[in-house]
Amino acid sequence: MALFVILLFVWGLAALMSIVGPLHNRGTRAAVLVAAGACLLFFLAEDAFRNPLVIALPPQYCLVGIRPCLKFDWLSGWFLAVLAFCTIAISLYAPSYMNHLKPAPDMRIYWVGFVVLLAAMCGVLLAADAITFLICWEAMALSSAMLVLTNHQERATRTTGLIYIAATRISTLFLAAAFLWIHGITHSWSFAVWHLTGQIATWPAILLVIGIAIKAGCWPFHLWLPAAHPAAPAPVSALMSGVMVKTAIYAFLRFFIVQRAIQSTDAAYLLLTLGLITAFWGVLFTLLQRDLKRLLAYSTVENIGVITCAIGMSMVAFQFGYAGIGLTLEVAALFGVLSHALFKSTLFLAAGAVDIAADCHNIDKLGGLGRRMPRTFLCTLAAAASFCALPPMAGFATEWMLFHGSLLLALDSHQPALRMGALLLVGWLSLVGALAMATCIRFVGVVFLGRARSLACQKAHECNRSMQAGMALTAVMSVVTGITAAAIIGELLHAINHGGPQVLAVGYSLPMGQFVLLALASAGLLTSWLAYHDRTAGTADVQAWDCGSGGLTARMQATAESFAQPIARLFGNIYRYAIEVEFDGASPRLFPEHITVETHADATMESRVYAPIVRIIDRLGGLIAQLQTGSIHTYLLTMFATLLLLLAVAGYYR
Amino acid sequence: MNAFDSLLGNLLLITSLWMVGITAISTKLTLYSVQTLAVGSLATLVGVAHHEPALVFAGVGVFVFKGIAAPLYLAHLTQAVGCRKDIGSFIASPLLLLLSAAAVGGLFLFHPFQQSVPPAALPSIGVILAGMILMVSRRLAISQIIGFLVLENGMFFFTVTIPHSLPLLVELGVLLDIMAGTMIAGVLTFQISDSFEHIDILRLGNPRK
Amino acid sequence: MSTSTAMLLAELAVEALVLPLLLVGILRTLRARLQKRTGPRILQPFYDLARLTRKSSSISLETGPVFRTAPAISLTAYLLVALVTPWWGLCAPIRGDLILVIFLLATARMAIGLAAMDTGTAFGGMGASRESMLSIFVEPTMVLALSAAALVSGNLWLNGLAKPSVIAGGSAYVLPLAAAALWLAAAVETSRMPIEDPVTHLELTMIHEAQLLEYSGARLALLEYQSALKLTVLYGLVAQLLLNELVIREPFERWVGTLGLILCLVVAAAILDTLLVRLHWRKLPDLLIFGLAFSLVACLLAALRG
Repeated sequence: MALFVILLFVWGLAALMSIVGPLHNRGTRAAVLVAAGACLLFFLAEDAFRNPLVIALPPQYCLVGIRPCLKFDWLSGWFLAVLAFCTIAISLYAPSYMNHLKPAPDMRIYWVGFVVLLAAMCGVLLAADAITFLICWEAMALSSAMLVLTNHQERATRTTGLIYIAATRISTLFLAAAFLWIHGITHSWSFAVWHLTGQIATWPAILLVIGIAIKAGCWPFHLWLPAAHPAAPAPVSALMSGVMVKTAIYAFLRFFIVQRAIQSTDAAYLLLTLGLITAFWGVLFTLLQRDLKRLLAYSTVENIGVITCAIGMSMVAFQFGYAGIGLTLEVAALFGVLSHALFKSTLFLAAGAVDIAADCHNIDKLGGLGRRMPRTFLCTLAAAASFCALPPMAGFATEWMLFHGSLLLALDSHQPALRMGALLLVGWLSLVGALAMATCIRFVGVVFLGRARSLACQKAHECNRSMQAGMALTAVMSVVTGITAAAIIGELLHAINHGGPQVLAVGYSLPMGQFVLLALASAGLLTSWLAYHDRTAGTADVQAWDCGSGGLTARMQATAESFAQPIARLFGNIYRYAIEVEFDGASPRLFPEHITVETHADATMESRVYAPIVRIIDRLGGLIAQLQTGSIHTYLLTMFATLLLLLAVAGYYR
Repeated sequence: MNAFDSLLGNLLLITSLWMVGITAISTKLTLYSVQTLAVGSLATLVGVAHHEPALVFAGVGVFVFKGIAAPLYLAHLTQAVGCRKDIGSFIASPLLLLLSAAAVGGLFLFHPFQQSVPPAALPSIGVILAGMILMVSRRLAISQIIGFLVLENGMFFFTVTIPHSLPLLVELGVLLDIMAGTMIAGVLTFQISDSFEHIDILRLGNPRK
Repeated sequence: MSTSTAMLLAELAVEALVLPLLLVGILRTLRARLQKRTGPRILQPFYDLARLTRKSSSISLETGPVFRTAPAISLTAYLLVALVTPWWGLCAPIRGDLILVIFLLATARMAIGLAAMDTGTAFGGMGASRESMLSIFVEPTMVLALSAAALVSGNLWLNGLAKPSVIAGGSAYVLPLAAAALWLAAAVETSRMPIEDPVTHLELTMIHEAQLLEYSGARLALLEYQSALKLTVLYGLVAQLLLNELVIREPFERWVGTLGLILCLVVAAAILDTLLVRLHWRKLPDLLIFGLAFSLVACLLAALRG
């Protein structure tokens, strides 16, 4: 507890540092303090992981008649540790990044918002009652909105900020409704008392799922995510995508699995369905994005979908009585949170570095950055490997547990529908995995490999040391956590079992150590043989094969657009993908002089569902605006009518 | 017997689903022939084992007429009309294949006819479904005849797997009807092809065009 | 390590080194004979490899370290696959499961795809892009087919395929269907005929080979060996499924049966290479969907058995 107070004090100091003192190094000082606080947070998390503790604040801090309650347990500890890691990396990275930004952002808004966001996230992760949870949830939403609006001079950013704020408001609305409903049944705000099962749990559970899913960015509520991330500065995107979105995952786990607050089969199936669609939808749209950060935002949607699938499947397994498999899938979700936080913050930070180095985040204008920014490239490569779940990265451990758990469910269960469902989940996720790999090759290949597509790109150079350190920290961690996954998952299982009845789960039972050693040996031998061979036999520097056309140019290599085309054609109906090719010239068929290619794709959810809804709301708003003529008599009449209506309602229900 | 039944049922199902996915008429006919021969021989075997002469007759009839004669006739028809592939279907056939596999899967897993249909007869319901999908989705008239024949295979297999479900006399009558139907449909297709120079159902909707 | 394990490992090493190239030699010779050509010697791939390793590499100026190291990485991934799968009919020395194998194959695909993007040529990017499209079909097909087989053998670890704990008679089409699906996926992975013409070097029609266009010398040797190994391992897996369908359990019989079946599959590949024409790559989904549908139906039947 004392540690927590010190932590808050340190972060408060960081916020203060960014407001007062000499201008030139405000950011650095604030960053150092934030990082120091994050280190404290890590110890706190470690402590919470091992020794669960519930603290009720003293009575003088009462909120609406209840004493806020904080609960430190393994689940909070796990998420706090993830938060701490990402925060350290991001605060290493942030100061120099922010100095490079043009137009120069207001450091005060940025750092104060950052600190409030961190504290609010801690609050969400520690809250043990609904009121505290909701307040922290709100604080988190508002402070992150403030951070998204860092660059508020631009009109596009302001629009984005509005979309984001609207999404979070609706999320809070659903959550508040769910909490009120549950309070109506249980007469308590404390999560520990909530145990809803059966028919009565269905509607609150569905409200809760929707409220949290909006925050998580699940389909069909994902639209704020790809809007908010490109607008925010890179460290903010990294924090929001790496950790803040995960608080929603935390809420899913807390309410539906760990605390068993609400048990509802419908909610499990809803969550599973949402997860399946989200994963597919997210990856499908990742494939078409041209904006570097929007691409990463859509891939976050995909990852969230996969984690949500794991949670949904885990709930299903628990409900059918396969506790061991349920626990395995739960651990898959938890490890997924860690791996995603690590690789996604690396990717966002790298995107920021690229943005600064090449002054551009349109991937059609990038290229060949790998040789100009080798360290950023290496970090990106590690993160991308983890993203594609390549062994032995952290992402692989997640996918392995998820697939293995589902297959075990298919093997152990005797209900054909459940068996087939588990198999279909595995097949579907492998489809998503193959698509994710395509997006990854496209993203890394177009941005970092091949030839530079613009002058700025040719002149790009490596970002400075502190930014490299931030990226390297998370990238290295995603390798290390991948290799040591078995031990980490063992610890996690131990902590989970410590709190409740002993349940046997599968763990990460691949002999990963052997594989890593063998792979290192083999790859090392082969590469050194190749290097030796190159030295002894010599290499000839040649031009790449150009069909004798006399030199390849940067425009001849595959673009992001052309790379995506074969797959986009396949799923064309979903995007409403269209490609138009026009040949021009004296003899367009045989000797085309100008060829223009135009592709169209549509964010279908936005254009077909949300746009009509917004139009309807606009029209209704117009109707209401007619009341607001400024005439006092109309207002009085409205108030009078409302009063009468309320009296009538009250009379009716008496 | 039971294991054999389910083996055969699955074979029927797999071949029918396969037919939904392909467009080449000759392959479709081969698959149809394989499954009909299998059904015919099963019926004959069951008839011999249970001493039911009617079933033996029906089995041999199916084997000879539906398994050998009808495919040969349809192959001849295909040659004569000059259509070797489906000109198209209303849903892309790969997608249709997955959809019908999903539909059959749902049929098996959720078993909507629990009261009226024993589990052993489920494959035949799946075959009927596949036949219907084949008939509904294709634009070429010959494919629709094949779809109809597949559907009939499913019905026949259904009667074989459920003892005493349908008087076999009726089945024999149906068999004759099928033969007549195939002939008539074939002749009609030939006529349509002659007078319109195509057998595209979609374009037959408005004959004045 | 006991002597029997050492013997087994030595046998695996010999088999993994010699068999793939031999099979490729047989395939090429057979195909040539079927086309009434004399064709190369059966041992030609060995000579080719030896010749390639002696040559110096031509490396494009525009490429970086990714291009240089990718062959080593992808070969490593395939060597690991060969170590964890019972493709040769006997239990693999290291325990692995289908998920690991699928993601190892993905690792190799990613390494080669990135290397192709690194060359900065139109062909490389085209190959990588088309290969990614094919992987959308190949990966779920393999996962579902192997899962169905795992369900039948009652064991999620791949060694369960070689030593099934439950085989009660036939599998009611699960294994043949899974084997067919896996075979189709293998045809894509090894660029066989209806998908890709393995002999042509016309850039515009290539898919997998377009990614390897820039390689030469020792790196090309690694890639050639890798593609031979890939063919052998995948055919070996198909053979395992078929052997389980035939209820062959004795280790020696399995070993012989595996060799025989792999040889049969190679002969089939040679015949199909001769008979079939290459499909336009946009038509490929129409073909590959059958692999997916077969593996789905296999899964359905496997789910219903339990």
